[in-house]
Amino acid sequence: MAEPTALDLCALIDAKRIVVCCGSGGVGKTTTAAALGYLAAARGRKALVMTIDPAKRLAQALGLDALGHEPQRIALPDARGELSAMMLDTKRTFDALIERYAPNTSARETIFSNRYYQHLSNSLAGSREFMAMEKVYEMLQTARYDVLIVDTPPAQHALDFLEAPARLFDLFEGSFVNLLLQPYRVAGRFGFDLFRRSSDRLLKVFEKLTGYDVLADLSDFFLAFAGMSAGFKERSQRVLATLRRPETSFLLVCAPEPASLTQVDRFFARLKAESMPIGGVIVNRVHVADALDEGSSYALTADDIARVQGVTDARLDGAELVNRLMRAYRDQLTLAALDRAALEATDWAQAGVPIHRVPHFDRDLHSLFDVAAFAASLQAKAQASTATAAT
Amino acid sequence: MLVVLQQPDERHPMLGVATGYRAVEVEPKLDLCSIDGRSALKEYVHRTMLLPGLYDWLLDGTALKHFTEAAPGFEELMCLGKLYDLVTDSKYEQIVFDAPSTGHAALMLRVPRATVAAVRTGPLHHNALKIQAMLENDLQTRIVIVALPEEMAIREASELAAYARDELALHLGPMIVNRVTPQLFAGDEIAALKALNAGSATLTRMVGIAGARFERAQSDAQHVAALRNERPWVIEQPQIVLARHDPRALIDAIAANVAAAFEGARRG
Repeated sequence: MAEPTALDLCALIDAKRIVVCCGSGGVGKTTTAAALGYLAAARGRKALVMTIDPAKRLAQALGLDALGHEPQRIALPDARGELSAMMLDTKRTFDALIERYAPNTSARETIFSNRYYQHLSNSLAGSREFMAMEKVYEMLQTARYDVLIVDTPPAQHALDFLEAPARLFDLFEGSFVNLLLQPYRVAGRFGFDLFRRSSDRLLKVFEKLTGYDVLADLSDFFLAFAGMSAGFKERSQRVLATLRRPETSFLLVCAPEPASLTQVDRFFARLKAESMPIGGVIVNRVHVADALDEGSSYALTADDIARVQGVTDARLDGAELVNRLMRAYRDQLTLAALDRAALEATDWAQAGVPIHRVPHFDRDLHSLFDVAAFAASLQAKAQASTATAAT
Repeated sequence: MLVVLQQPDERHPMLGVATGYRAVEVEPKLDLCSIDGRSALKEYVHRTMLLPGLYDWLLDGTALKHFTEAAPGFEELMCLGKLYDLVTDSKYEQIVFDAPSTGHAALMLRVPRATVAAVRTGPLHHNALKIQAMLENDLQTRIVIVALPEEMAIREASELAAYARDELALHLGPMIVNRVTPQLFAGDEIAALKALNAGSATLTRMVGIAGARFERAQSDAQHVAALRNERPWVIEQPQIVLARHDPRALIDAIAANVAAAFEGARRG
């Protein structure tokens, strides 16, 4: 297979206003987002890295104890630009939207005091992802930052956050909510009581499954929300339109393992179906071999073996050290060959999608210093296939 | 029974078998099924309603989809309800649930408690109570957390363990640290090898790789050691390097290592 097209991350980070990092869990997505932010700041841009993941990974990656709902500036003395980071608080974003779109104080207070909203709005279908997109849009409007880098939550099923607005509006406009609201529209909760005693089998089934209180709370919430859904919908459509513009780029982050690479195939299909601009793929933790290793039989010359045996003293067994040295080398070459084969087997690599391979570092990355090292590897124009794995 | 959360008809990445809500036999003593909230709800309706056939139109319609999406946590509760059914079904001696990743797992495990607190009466309340009791029963349920030997992953795993134990009253099994790089060298060996100032290009490359591996193994060992200070039972799973992608061989090797660790723990 021909060498994949190199992904020029410097050009991308210089040109784009929104960079969305997506991928499944455990592939280094958060560290990648932090490193891209660092790279942007180093290149003179004002960057904001936003995470949606409730875990504290972004804060840890940037060497902070915690991140808040408002952007927090990260001290980078040598950077020409600026780096800030924030962690999305779904509930606060939801509250702010309701403040904005509630037709009057009474409607707003009804929602805020609804038990269902207070306890469970964080996990309403797609609400986390929807609020994340909302926050991206809000930060874009402030024009405080040149580039927003979004670290999305790990997606189990393709791109949950792209589907979130549609799911949310399907829900609000769907048959179940209409059924719930129908009696309310006639006569409030009294109507609901009458209605549920009537013969509607659907509602009776739901009541049998959940109990009356749950249905009544849901009805209260959706009724109060009904007047606002048009505003929400219009705003979400603007968010999606922004994501489709050329100023946005989606980067798919993965590991060189069959399960992770297969996920990328699904992400691609979904992004293409949504007409979203794809920047390329960042493959993390790639074991690399260099040109010297091609076709190597792991052989050392007699002179090499003598040298290695010569470094040992009475405590060390020279012959055994040679064996371990060869085992480490063989393992590295095997892992590099497996990674390469897994990458070559993907449809997207064969289709010429730009790829940046980040070498498997010889230590764990968990500080701002490590993020800087990662950023340096993202900056490298030469592809990782010719680099060494050591930092 | 191995229970996973996957799209229907997706192949299991390690077992290579297409998964579905109905259990499939992978081998004589291992079944596999993939659960989702809506299928679990359908099964529940069929079991609890009189004349369940009357409700098929509802169960296949969009109203049900919207209902499960409108009631937060409901889908997760239904999945856990299915686990409850499997646990109480005498057909299986052990259920292994491949739960979602850390953040989602914490949310999912919290759902029964949150439901019991938010819904004071009715069937949802009673079912959530039963599921919560199953999860909190030391004889029935253990939470096994798996992490890579990396700072962030280990910290998240520790936080999940503390949350599960202290906030949810769940009982922890061993914590498994996966893909730990085996240490092949001593520090003075690496120093001596690096001091070699001549040799073939292959030898220079080998020494470079040995040095990188030494560093990685040191870093992994530090993470495992730190975890051992916090957790009473940590199983270290060494990274396995196979000549080709061979899930079956990988499963066998990991199973042998974990079984040996359990046997060691049993003997004290």
